[in-house]
Amino acid sequence: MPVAASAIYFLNLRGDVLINRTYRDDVGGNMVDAFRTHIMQTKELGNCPVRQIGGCSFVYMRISNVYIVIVVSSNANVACGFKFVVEAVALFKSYFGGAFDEDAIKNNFVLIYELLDEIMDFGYPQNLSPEILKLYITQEGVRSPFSSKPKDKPVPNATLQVTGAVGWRREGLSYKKNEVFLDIVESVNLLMSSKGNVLRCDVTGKVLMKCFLSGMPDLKLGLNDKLGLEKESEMKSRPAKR
Amino acid sequence: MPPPAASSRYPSPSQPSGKSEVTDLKSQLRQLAGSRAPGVDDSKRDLFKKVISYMTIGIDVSSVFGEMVMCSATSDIVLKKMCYLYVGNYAKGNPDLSLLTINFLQRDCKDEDPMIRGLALRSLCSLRVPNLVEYLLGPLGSGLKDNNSYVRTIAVTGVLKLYHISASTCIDAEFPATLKSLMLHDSDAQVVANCLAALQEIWSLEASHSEEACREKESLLSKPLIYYFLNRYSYLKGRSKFQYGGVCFCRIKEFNEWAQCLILELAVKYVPSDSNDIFDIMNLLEDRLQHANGAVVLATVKVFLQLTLSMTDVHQQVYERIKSPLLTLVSSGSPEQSYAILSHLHLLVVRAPFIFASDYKHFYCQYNEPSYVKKLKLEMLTAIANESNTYEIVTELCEYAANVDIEIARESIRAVGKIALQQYDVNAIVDRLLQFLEMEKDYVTAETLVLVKDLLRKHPQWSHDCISVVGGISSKNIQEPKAKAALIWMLGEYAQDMSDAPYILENLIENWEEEHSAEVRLHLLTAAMKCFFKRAPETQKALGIALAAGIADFHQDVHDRALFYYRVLQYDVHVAERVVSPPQQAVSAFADTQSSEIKDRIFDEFNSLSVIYQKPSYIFTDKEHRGPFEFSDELGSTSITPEVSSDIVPAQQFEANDKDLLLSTDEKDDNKGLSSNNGSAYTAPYESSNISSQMQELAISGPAASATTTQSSFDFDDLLGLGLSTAPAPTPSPPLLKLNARAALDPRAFQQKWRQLPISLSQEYSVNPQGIAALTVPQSLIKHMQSHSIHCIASGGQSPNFKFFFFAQKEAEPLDYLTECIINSSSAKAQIKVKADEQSTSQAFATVFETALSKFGMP
Repeated sequence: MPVAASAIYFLNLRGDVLINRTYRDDVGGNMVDAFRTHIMQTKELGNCPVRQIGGCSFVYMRISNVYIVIVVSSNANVACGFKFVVEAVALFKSYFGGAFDEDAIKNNFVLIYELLDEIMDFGYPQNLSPEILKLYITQEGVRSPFSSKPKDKPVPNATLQVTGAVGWRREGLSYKKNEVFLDIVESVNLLMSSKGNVLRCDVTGKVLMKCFLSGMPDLKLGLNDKLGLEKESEMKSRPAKR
Repeated sequence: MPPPAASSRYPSPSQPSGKSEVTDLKSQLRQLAGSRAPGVDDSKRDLFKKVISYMTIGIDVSSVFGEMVMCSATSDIVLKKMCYLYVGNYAKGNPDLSLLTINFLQRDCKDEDPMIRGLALRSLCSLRVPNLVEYLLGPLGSGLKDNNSYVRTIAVTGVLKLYHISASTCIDAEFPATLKSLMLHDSDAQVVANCLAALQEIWSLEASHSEEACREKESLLSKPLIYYFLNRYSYLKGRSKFQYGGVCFCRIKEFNEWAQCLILELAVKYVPSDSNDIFDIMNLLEDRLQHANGAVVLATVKVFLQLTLSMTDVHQQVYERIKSPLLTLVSSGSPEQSYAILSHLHLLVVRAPFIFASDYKHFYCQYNEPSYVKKLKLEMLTAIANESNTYEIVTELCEYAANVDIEIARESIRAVGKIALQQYDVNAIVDRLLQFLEMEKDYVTAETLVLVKDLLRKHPQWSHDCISVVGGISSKNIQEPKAKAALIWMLGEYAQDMSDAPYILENLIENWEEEHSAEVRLHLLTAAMKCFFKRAPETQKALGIALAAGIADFHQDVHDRALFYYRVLQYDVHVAERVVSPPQQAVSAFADTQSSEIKDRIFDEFNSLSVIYQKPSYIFTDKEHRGPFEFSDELGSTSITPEVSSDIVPAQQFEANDKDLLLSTDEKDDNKGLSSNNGSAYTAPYESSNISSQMQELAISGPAASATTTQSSFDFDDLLGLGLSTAPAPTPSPPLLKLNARAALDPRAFQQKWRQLPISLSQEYSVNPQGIAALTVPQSLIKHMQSHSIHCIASGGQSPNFKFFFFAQKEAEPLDYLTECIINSSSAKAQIKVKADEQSTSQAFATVFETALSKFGMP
């Protein structure tokens, strides 16, 4: 099984549990104490983000002043675990409006509980896409897409969205004019010594897309590089994706 | 929230005093429970929030259970969610009270709002109270048939939860079959994915005791099913397209990224029927390699690698293909994520270094990376260094040697050394290494010295260059034992080239008392000897002091080595020279730490924790989790077959070999004396112990033949004085099977050895009554055996059956004896099974063991 996470903990820098959610019974509640004594209070903390104590593995990450720890008892998929944490943090950020830290967690614990319930069930990651979750878990918590009396704007077919595959596109989109806007933003980073030697330099780029296409078309974009940096570097973008 | 005064209107007997807040919450909740006034939901919400926040910070609020349930009659979804959360948290501890919740949860399961249906069903399944299982069946059954996919996904996971609470109920209700049909026919991807996850878990747990489950588990890997997952186009749109088929659309895209991981993991286990099959699947999955989720990419990589294992050239192409996506992933995302990817890349790099040789620049460390990433990168740079890129890599590594992070600086020096050892042309590297010595940083010098030593062992031709530099280092600046030992080794080995070698050694010897590390003292002895053979007049005095100090040393090895040198010198100086300082021979290869079998195993478990830990999963998963005892049971059962035959064979062999041994020992000894010293001089004590071990074989073969009757062998022991208690006596008589008092073996190595070795001996002894009495505290036996140099690695059991795993190591030789000992205190019998590296001495060891055991409990 790829990830059957047994529990997820949010700890502050001192090791106090801010919020935790146990998904499976196969790890004891004292596991977080083990984490605290064996990892947080030793110099091991920065050494490796995956550690094993007493049959359980701890996959942890520090995000601002919070540690997020996933406890697994099987031979889990680590890449998946980290990705889950990263995505979950992105989700929380989009709910909290940018910041993710100890205070944000304390102020929103009910919401976090709700989200933790939705994004993982019995240790298996479910849907982490903010666009979909926001349809039915709202900060105010008053909006229910299924409520019998539709309020100002009804959300069509939300349950299909909840479990659908393409998180970032609702079904039934249509535009009069089908267009795509592309921006390519590149930045050059350079670190130079006082003598003028280049210590580091790199270029990072982003392709930003604004898409007004109807339905679910397959869209292929090619970047060709006639300047001759490499013979062929062709990037195919997946259909209408971020 | 200001702590309000405790309300006396609703005193609760179960409430401990001092928790006024909780009591107060209770009363407020009770007031609100019946109220239908407008705005009551808002105040309820505040109260619920308080309850949940108390629960989060660890205050026990289970006493308000009843009130919470009463307040749950609401249509507000947020209130409901908080209530479900509360109930899920406390139901397990209060099974009686949770009966109260069943009613409202069941009602909510029939709510018209699918959201509420789903939430209620999830909470109902999360109660984890075994005697409420019967209430689950109805809602689960209807949940699986619900027309809303959200409810179905939850119901599917609910089945898995039910299975974990009560497997038989789940199987009896035929939920697995329902899940299977749902998996094949449901139109919603998430439902299908959850079905797959649940079925995989249920069937693999069930497979151990049910043949049907086993078959079902196999059927998940059948070709149609795999293609169904990978290839099926949307149920509604594309059935027909799939049927005409071949390779067209990728069903897998319909699943979200997490479900894709699940499916790819399944596809890994699929055995393709022919090469077309393989290429079909690879074509289908090709674009998964560009996915933004590292887990999906890794899972795809695993599929590719496993599918092509048998096709060497395609396998090679796969490496080429997966290289760039992985390298891209490494440089994006958080350090933790790139660590996970790098660990996998590391595995691939070690398997096929030449493929990555031209990409060495990707593995250069960046200053802001955490040390765990840097460490991996250094290892990879070491692995991919070859003729074409060594110069650049070593240049880069030399930069790191000045790193502020001392650990990384050390690692990079070690990396340079490793590269030097694996190259033929080390010219440039030697210069670099020697430059390190000029940096005059303690840790740099220390690491470098160790490397120079290894380098000289492999490439003695560089000695002149190195020695001139090493000679300039003051031994006072070197504190680390390893480095000091390396320096001393060089002083001894190249005494003729270093003019002041004898004087440096003399200095060191004079400070013998201050030298805490036994390793350094051992090297000092050997170096003094070597120096003596080359420059006798200058060293004689120092050697005398060293030998005297060595013989008086409290460390057994140092003592023995000094004594041995002394006697050899006394016997014949030329023989001594031949033994201690034979002509140099270059070491061609250093031992690899990890066997290829283990590496293959880790490769099979690609994309899991095994790769991160660089250990196969059996070492670190459930077994340790279940405690040492159960794993030892399992070990015992795997070795039942060889046991039967080994019972008889060794005894017979011993009788047969007895006479041969008697005749041939002399000859053998002579041969050994001449031939055993072709390695480095460190192995000098090897010879002496070898002789003694053979003598002891002789001495012991008597009792071995008659060991079947316990009592007689006892007598023999005593007559011959074989008991260990006599062994540490300083008399020069050849020691019997002498065990290393400081033997060390880590549990994993033990476990592995226990698997590999056949049982060489299995016997039953009776334990004396005092021993049985003392066994009430099993720890005392462990301590007792330890005093006889037999160490315990795991123990357990309850009266009357105790089980211990012991190990012991032969003195001065890395030969281990592993023993399983089961003691039944009611019958006063001890059963032992011995496994040994050296089969022939296991009987001797058993005797030692028995002697030690028989003394247990004696004052």
